[in-house]
Amino acid sequence: MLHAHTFPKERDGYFMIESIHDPIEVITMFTAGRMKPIRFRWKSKTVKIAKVTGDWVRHEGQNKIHYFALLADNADYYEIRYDSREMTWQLTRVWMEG
Amino acid sequence: MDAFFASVEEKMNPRLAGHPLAVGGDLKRRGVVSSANYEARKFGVRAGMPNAEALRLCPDLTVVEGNPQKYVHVSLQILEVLKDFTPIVEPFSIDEAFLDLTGAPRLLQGTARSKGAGAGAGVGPRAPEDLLDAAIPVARAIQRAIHRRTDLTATIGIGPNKYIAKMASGVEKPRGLTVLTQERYRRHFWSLDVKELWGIGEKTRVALEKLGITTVGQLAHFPKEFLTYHFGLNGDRMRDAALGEDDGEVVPYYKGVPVKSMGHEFTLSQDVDSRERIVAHLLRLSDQVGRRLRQDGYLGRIVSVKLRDSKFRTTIRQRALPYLMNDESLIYKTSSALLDENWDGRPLRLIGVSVSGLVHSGNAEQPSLFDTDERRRKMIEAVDSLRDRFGDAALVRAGAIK
Repeated sequence: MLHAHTFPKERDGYFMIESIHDPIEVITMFTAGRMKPIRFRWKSKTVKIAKVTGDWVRHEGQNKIHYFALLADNADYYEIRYDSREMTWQLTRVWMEG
Repeated sequence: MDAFFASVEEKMNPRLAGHPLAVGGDLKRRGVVSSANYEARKFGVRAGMPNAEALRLCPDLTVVEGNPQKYVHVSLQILEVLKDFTPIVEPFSIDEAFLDLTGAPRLLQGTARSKGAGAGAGVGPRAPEDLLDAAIPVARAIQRAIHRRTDLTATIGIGPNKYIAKMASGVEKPRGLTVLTQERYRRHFWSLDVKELWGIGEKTRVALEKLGITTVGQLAHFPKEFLTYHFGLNGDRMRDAALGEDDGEVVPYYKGVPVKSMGHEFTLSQDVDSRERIVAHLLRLSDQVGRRLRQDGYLGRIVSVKLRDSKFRTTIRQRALPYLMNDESLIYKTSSALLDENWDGRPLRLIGVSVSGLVHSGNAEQPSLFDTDERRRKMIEAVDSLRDRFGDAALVRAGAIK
């Protein structure tokens, strides 16, 4: 479900959506001790990841939430999170073609 | 680091690069800008400005909600890079650090060893000019290493002490590298307005102006006794700053810089004049402050409350308690009493709570209140233990949900 709107407004045909908490399915590669998302499915769309541009971790008690900043092969931008206790993935932020 | 939060967002989402960008607080509430890129700064967008004002100045501005964990992660990567150059790194904020390069191997390789001399980006005791200049290739190497590791740019100031190094870092941005000896510092800053000095805000500038001091040079030459009479200990510090004198050591990260206060503040989504809602926020903020004090092993004695009204008038009031504590109930009780004594019912846009006069729990000479209230201590330990395991949102005070 989308909880926020475009902000501040559509620009150059792109818009950003903040605060999404949509469940997604992710194909992940584990390499050199790190997780690397390869592609994910959001609603009925499959997004192929061209580049992981950043990653960071947030601690909620003993639980670790892994975040990834991603560029899709069409240059859309996504942030996704992996909840290591629940073993679930969520989409949290999108910047995509309108 | 140059426009740190904004640069991290640009690096992760390259589509943002080249356009005016600000990182702000919660976009659904009325946050303030915490970082603006250089394209946005051309329009007058500055850190500390409300998002709405920034958008008025720059209608094409993109405001991205800030994400502290993201920036801390990059900040730690940068700290790792800096440690390759010297172990004497003092993180000063999430995007600033002082390095004592006096003994840095790369510096010593490039110069004749000079015992006791210091040079570098925020260095130790006074150093000859040639040693400061010898730090330039090291500083360039640091900039390159940071860029390689994070894709971000850094500005470096080199000086014989921390204050001059900090001031030098503001001379040229972004990607700047400025070397200032004490003499060059005085030549550069003495003709400038006192507000250019790090640590002098608008209120102090006005107070200095009343004494006839408007430039850094005038401050440097003003009799010390007069400054101390008017500003107390700060008078001394201001004069030292104007002279470019600072004997503060670079405190390495592994020693830890003593924490003076801990606090949280909150910008409300709309102005609030309901006491019930304001005290609910005070309760939540007190809860966060108490938890942080305990997590980091501190006790404090002075509770402060910060109130900012819809016209941006800020009131800070504090009260010293007769005992050390880290109990949110006492923080809340004191902060709500301060609210009742100092709030006239005007709508508020920001509320803050902090505790100062901190000592490490292990170093406390007087007993804390917990020592005399075993039942309450056990209860708080149980709550902390649940939150340690399941996160802070696992238990929330009913009174904080309004």
